[in-house]
Amino acid sequence: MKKRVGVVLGAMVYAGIMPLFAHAAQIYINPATGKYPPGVTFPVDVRLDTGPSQCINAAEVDIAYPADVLQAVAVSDGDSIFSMWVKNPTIYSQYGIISFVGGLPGGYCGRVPGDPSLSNKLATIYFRFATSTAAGSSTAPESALLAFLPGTQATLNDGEGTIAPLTTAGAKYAEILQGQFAPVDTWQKALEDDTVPPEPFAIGVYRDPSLFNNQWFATFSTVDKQTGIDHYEIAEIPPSDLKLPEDQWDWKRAISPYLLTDQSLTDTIAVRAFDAAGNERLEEYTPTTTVPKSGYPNASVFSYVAILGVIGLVLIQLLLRVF
Amino acid sequence: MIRRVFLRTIIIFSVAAAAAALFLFASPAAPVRAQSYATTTVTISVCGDGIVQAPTEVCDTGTNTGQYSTSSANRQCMPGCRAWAPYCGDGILQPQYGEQCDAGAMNGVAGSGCSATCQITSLAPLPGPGPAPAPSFGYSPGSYTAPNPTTVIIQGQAYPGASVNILQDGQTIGVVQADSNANFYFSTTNISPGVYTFGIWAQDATGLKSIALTTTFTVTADAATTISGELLPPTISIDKRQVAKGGTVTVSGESVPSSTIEVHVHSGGNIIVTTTTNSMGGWAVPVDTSVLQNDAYHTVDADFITTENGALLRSTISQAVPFYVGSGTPSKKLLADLNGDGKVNLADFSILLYYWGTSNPTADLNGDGIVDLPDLSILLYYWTG
Repeated sequence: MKKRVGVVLGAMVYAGIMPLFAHAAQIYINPATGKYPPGVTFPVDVRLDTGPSQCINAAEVDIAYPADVLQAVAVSDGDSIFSMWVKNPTIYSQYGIISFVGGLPGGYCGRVPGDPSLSNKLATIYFRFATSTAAGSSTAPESALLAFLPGTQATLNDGEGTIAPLTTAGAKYAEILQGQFAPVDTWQKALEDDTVPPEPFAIGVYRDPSLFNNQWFATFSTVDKQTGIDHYEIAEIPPSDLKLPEDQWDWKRAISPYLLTDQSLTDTIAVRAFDAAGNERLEEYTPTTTVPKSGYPNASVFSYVAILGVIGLVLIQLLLRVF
Repeated sequence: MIRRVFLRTIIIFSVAAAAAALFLFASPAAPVRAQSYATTTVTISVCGDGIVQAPTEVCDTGTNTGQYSTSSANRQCMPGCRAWAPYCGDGILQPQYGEQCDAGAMNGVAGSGCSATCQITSLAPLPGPGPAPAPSFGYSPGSYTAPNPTTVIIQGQAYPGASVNILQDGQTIGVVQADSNANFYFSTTNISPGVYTFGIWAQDATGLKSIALTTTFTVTADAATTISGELLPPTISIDKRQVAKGGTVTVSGESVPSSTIEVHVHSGGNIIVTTTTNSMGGWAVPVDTSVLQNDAYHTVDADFITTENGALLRSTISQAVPFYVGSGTPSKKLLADLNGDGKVNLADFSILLYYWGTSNPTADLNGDGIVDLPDLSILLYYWTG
């Protein structure tokens, strides 16, 4: 009797909770299973599915992997649907964690009918089974479990930052020890095949009291559809140096927002984005003539109008007094 | 006298400056926000992938060379996938390709007078070595057929004469003008294959901005990917932000001419008011607030319904415009515009990034004491590019 009540109660609780996840989004690893020999670097995608009529615009993802068994060779944001990154995909091998925080303006709303692909990838991780068995030794084949940590969450594109009901699905990979396998490195192959530079982008120059004590800073951000963005470099070029070839400019590795050294805004600002294969996209911006002095309407015009206005008012009143 | 002149000048100048400041710095009527759910009207057809996607495509052989073929089995598709290229068997006499006749499906059928290779059978020599085959135009050795450039085409409906902004992965790549029927068309070949998120928003004739419609899809190499059915929701504004209970607020905006607008007033239950846009795309409805709860905020939004090929299509819902019923002083400023320049873009994201993990009040958009994922989400929702 107790057992039957327990089963019924359990079913009722399950039935009560499950509808909450009927509209859940899912972050999952694909492929969910696989068998790979040691020495082969294989790619694994982190993907996002939305619930019906749902748009997800940001996510914080933490994946745990067994670092003693599996080596994370590289993680790429190439062809990711996220275009804004708070934290680029990073491997923390000492903890066996891969994590990233990013999003896309307007949100991802699911697959469009007619789309030839899934178009829902967040990142690609390249793994390799760490153990390489010495010839003649007999060890049991390893298996590796990939799981999403509890901090993994996603937000709805609803203007309120609502945390979306989310389910996650990890993966399990096994090692093959029997047979002869060539050491295929899919990451190396992807780097060799990638001849396309990152996408074009615009450099922004702004200042704001909340950042850098109201000093001018530069913003830049782009994406790469192949092997992903590796890093950015910036150079501030005085007009006299513009005739020099690009590689002679004073390049510095940089992240956005970048506090400009030249606060007079006479130097040309050049930013180059590098993808993981080393392809470069160069953009330049000469701020002097085009950037407004602040985000607000031109302050100097405003002050001229103000001064003339005061003089005018005084004159009018004096004239009225006279007449 | 001088002192009085001085004081009067100060007063008039202060009033004028305040009025100028209000005029210059007032935020736009409605903030640009992104959709909250997916639209089901958007479809993609890829001309060049070898898959026929009706109704936009009539054929798709992959290469789509548009060249003449000697049989219907080998027939090519025209570039653009809207029609078949000429072939022997299409029922059209094409002497320029060596055809003597073309009886369509009857080619090669005894008694039709036309052979399977589009030659008049009564002229054919008696059985022996067959007639010389018609020259084949499907392949000319030595010529190079250039691959189709990777192209993206976006089409849909906004408002008559509206400026339609196209964003690619958050960056503005083009502005096109909608015609008098609110149809817009955008195309670019300046794109490499991959997964992209395109955002579309429009500004109507009165300056009101729509929400941004986003669509994520894969752009196929050497093919033209066409996205159709991007129906932008109506623009919407309200004549009063605050009204005493029993008064009337007028909700108005623009959409596709001669279409049905459904206006929803959200307040506990849902009140739906229907109207039709005029020939210029304008619409307006009065909302009677006597049935609404007093001393409370309510919101109103709208979508439009149109028919295509007999099917009813509904656009996504517009942004929700809030209004207050009762007495009291509501105020709403443009959220997520952290640097106050009237746009929500990389500059504001940079500020949010800088204060990530801190309790900075400017960047803490939801006011929960920490700058974290929900604040990023709110900023991305209001993104204008």
